[in-house]
Amino acid sequence: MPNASSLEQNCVRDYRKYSDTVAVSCAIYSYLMKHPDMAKFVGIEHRLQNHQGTPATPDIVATFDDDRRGLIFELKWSLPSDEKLLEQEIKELRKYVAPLSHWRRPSDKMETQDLILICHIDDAPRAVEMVRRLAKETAQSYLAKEGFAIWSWTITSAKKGERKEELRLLPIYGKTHSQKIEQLINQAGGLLFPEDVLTFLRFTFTFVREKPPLQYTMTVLIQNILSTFQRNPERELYDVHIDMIYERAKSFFPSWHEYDAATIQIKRKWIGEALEKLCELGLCGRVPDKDDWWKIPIPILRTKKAVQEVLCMKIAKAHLKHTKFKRRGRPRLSAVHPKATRKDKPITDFLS
Amino acid sequence: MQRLTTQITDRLSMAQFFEKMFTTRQKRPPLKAFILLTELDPKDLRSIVQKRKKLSNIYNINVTKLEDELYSLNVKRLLWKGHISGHAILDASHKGVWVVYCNEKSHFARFGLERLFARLYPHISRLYINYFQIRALLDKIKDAYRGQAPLTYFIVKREPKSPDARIKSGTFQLWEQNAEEELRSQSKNFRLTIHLVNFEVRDENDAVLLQGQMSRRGVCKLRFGSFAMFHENVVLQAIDLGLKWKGFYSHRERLVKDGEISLRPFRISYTSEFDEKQLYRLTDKISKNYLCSIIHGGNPYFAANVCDYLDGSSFGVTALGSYVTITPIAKDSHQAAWKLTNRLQEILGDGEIASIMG
Repeated sequence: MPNASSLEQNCVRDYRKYSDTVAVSCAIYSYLMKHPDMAKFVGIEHRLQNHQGTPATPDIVATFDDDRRGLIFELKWSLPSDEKLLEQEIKELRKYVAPLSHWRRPSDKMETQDLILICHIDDAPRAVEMVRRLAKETAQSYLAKEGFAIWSWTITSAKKGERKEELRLLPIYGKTHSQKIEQLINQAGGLLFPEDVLTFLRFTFTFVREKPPLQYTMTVLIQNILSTFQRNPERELYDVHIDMIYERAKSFFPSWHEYDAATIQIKRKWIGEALEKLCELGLCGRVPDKDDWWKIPIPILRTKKAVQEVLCMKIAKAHLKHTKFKRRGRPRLSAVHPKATRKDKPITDFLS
Repeated sequence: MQRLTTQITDRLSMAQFFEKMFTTRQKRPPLKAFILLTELDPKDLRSIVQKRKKLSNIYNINVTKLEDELYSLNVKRLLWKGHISGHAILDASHKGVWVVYCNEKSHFARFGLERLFARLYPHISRLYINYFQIRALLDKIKDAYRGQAPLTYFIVKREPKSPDARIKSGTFQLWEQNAEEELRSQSKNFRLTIHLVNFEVRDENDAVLLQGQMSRRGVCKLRFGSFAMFHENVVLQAIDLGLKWKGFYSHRERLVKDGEISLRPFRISYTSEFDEKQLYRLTDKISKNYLCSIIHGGNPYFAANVCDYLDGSSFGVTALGSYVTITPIAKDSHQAAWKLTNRLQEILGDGEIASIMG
């Protein structure tokens, strides 16, 4: 069973991975906006539809070759280490390969639809291995064809300690139909994003389409959303409705203005879950007899450590406590065994 | 020591009182002018102090109106087992700015008044000036007096730009007739965080016109010289600078404009690149004053989401290469942005501040 420190480390690592994935999404978005010659940006979480009318909303949608070919970017902040779950995730990409409409206009249909899966460099080898295996199946044969590619992102310095950090996209597998994009990504060192991405553009949005780890949503709530309710410098309790929180949080979701009721519900649920967890950890409470109202102390936390580290530590401890409780059932009341002093007579004296 | 309250009844008597006091050579505490940025009405000061539990326990304040926008301030503070008390004059004639004059001893000015104003943040915010701003201000003072304004004393915190330099980092102070040259040469080899400077203005006949001091946190001191000239050439110049930078830090919140997100970041530029050690120190120190979620610590890239405990404003802060970039995220106030910029410079050294054009 993992110990508290390894759980905490994984939890903090996931926070960083999601946060950097948001930076990658902001980088691609700003790159496409500045380089329409490469591909013309259509939208973030843009709603495409298949012939049955089922919607598909990839992370970023663009077109190239005079709106004749479509380009879909799907970002995965983390890929499961369990093979079956990974297989399922890869198979789900199929929905973006079926002919889709509603690119710029409802009637738009593309000659080809390229799909680029973007993941962290640590997850890339597992993804490629799985793709190679699945490509042998006829239903997944698109994985072996032109038009499907895997790129990975990395934030490193070219020479540790000597050069500053850079955000790069690297080609890992497959290729697209666009020669320009292929030239760009296959240059030595991959696609290097401008420094602006790492310095300020990463704060354009706070989420990507994929559900963030709980500790990430909790941290964003504490840092950027609940703090805006603060009216006085001293700590006070505020009664806040979840809709008020969602209203202030919505501009942190990319493409928030295009959302329909179902998508709003999903994002609202993320916030609800994060608030539940904060309550579980004893950082806030519910307003009695009022649904969806929360009693929140603001500032919610005072610490000299990083917020996500404190939350991860609390989550790890709570998790271990929970599993211990589950494993052993209800903890028994321990019998009291008072220690005998020297003056006390041994029980054998009474037996004789 | 002559008491303020008995002598000063209006603006004219205040000017005459200080003029007379500081144009004669005698031993006395200097006149301290605190430049503060606030939209408060001075009449509300007492009630604000009373509303804050931590302040009302130790401070007792009385504000008396002398004439339009001029108030007498009586402050009593519990300190250890005793108490300190004193008087000051509050001039609120400039919109958005208070100037608090005090000729009491430094002990009261520091522990009575300065601490009070510091703790009244975010209702009242300080005027934070860095090395470059102090130099710009001194140039203006020189021009106003049409003379020389040499530095006679300064205190800086310095850190060598190259890690293998023999000289260690730490606080450095210098008393010298022409300290400006030394300060300039230090700025080439070190990252400097200026704390305060003493300056002296002389006329053509080498007679002293003004002896003053300016601190990083917007306190101007008059040791000797005409109060009218000091007010005109030092205090008003400092107010101008304060209002200019207040404008710079205002309205920078992340906004939704025509369906697009608009960011208004700004950056502090340095002449040398950060190393890992500096960024680890930044990680360590900034989290003592702000609620931080640090995404990257110091490899050598620092990225964090930072929230002001007292104000609720949040910022994205990154340090990469030779730049620190601050991106206001939510509920950004000019007070919080300015305070954070100052804190970052206290840790990393003073740099040049400018907007980033998108």
